[in-house]
Amino acid sequence: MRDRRAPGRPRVIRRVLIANRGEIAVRVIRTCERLGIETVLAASEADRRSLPARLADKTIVIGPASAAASYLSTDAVVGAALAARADAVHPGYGFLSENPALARACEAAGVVFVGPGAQTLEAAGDKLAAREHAIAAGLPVLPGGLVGGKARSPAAGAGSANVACGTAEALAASIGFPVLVKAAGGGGGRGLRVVRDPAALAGAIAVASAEADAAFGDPRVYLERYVARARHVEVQLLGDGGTVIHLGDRDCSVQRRYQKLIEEAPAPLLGGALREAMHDAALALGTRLGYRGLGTVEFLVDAGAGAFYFLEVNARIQVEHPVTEAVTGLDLVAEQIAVAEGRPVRLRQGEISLTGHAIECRVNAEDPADGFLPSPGTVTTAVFPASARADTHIQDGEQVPPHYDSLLAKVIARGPDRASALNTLRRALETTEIGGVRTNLRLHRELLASQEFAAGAVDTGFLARWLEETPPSVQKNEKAATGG
Amino acid sequence: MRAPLPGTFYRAPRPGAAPFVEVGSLVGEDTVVGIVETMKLMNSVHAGTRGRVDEICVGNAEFAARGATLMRIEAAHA
Repeated sequence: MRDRRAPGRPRVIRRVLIANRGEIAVRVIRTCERLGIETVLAASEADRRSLPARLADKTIVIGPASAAASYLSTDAVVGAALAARADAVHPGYGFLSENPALARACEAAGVVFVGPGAQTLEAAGDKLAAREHAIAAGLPVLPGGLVGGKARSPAAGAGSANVACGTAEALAASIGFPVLVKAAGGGGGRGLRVVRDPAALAGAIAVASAEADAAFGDPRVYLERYVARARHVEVQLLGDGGTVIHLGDRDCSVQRRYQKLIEEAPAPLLGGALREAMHDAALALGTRLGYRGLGTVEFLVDAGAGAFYFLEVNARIQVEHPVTEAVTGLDLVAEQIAVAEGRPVRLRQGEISLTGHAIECRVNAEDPADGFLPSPGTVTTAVFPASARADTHIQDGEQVPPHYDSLLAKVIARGPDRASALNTLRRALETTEIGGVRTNLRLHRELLASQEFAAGAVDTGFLARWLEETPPSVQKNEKAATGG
Repeated sequence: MRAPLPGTFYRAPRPGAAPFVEVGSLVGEDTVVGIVETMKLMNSVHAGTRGRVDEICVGNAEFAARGATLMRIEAAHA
């Protein structure tokens, strides 16, 4: 399934509609300005005076604050692209970025969708289909299978990893407890649930299936073996529909409830052979999908066993892309736009060299001292460091609406090695200050100071354990320190 | 009973499901009477008092400001 643009000359993008908000909208505008591409921001009512709205050449209000009627409306986005006479739509991440209907609607309207084609988005968005493509491409997957059905896939029966289905109980028993119940239509950590006790299986499946049906319009759930102590490592791909290259890996193991908080590149303390095998695996899957655009192949790494397993494909630019930019020296948005224009990938694999180390902290409007309660409001102070990169839409007076996610800024430091990147990031966070809304800045400072993080190679359970072990006084201080 | 956070108020656990409570429902302090979605997080809203739901002031999927009255609950006289 090749994903090529119609053959012919590249279509030059002169004006792009950015169908997103917040820091990623600012990020895309920055590259477009450098490339001489005009920007039109598609903003909701709540964001009409936001920083990206002020930075874009033009802003079109596409709907009310509620994302369902604005950032998630295919009609509103395509309508704005046509009204703006935009050559392309850049969807950013989240919202409609992996939505095949938007890719199709753009194609029908004669507008370039900056991302993979609808077929690829469908293959990546259906977690079971992605898993089957991974098996067919020879990638290791965790033992698992669809609950209550036979596999319907291009790769049905291709791997012994797909357990033959009978009852859910038999399936779970052959996988071995604990098992993870996953929604086929889910992703990004949504629709996951761990089942440790066989007696709880049927109930968990029923609830997960009902939730998945309501959230994703797809009640299918599948089971996979649950790995308790694993790292989350992902490989960045760039493809043009024929050639696919990788831009190294990232470690995103510092997570809370499957939401990433700290990311770094390259993944620390990964054996050379294991790292290379993961890069090759990601390339094999990207090649099978005829991948065009930026994409990420996520893996679980059982470092103790020296094993890795395919998790999912993210068919878009990712929040954590700056750490890859820091170690490759590339502008990933520029590369993304180039292949969207129909140009071949400009770099050969051998020309990609990784230098140094980079670490990113996601600064969120949430209060770790109060159960990570979201904290919308008006920003009264915003100071970002000079010694590190800060990707943000936050300035003094900026509104943080309650309608969208809580990401305020990403602070990214790099250095010749991990220790110096970490030191630079620690100093950078000391000078970062955001007032008016509560933030997780102090939590980041404490995490970066912890010996376990400094040692590297923490697993995805690290943050939950750390929060449990940290004396309540420390977490309480956080409230006083960031309140206001 | 007021919104603890600004956000979108939902009367049911998921689309199409039965509402948590209706006018006339008897509630305890810890009864979940709705959900307020703020910054993509679903926060359960508890009745906070024992009594009977007298009025539901905000419609399903409507936005509620911080502190907005979501429901009126007539306290039970024990």
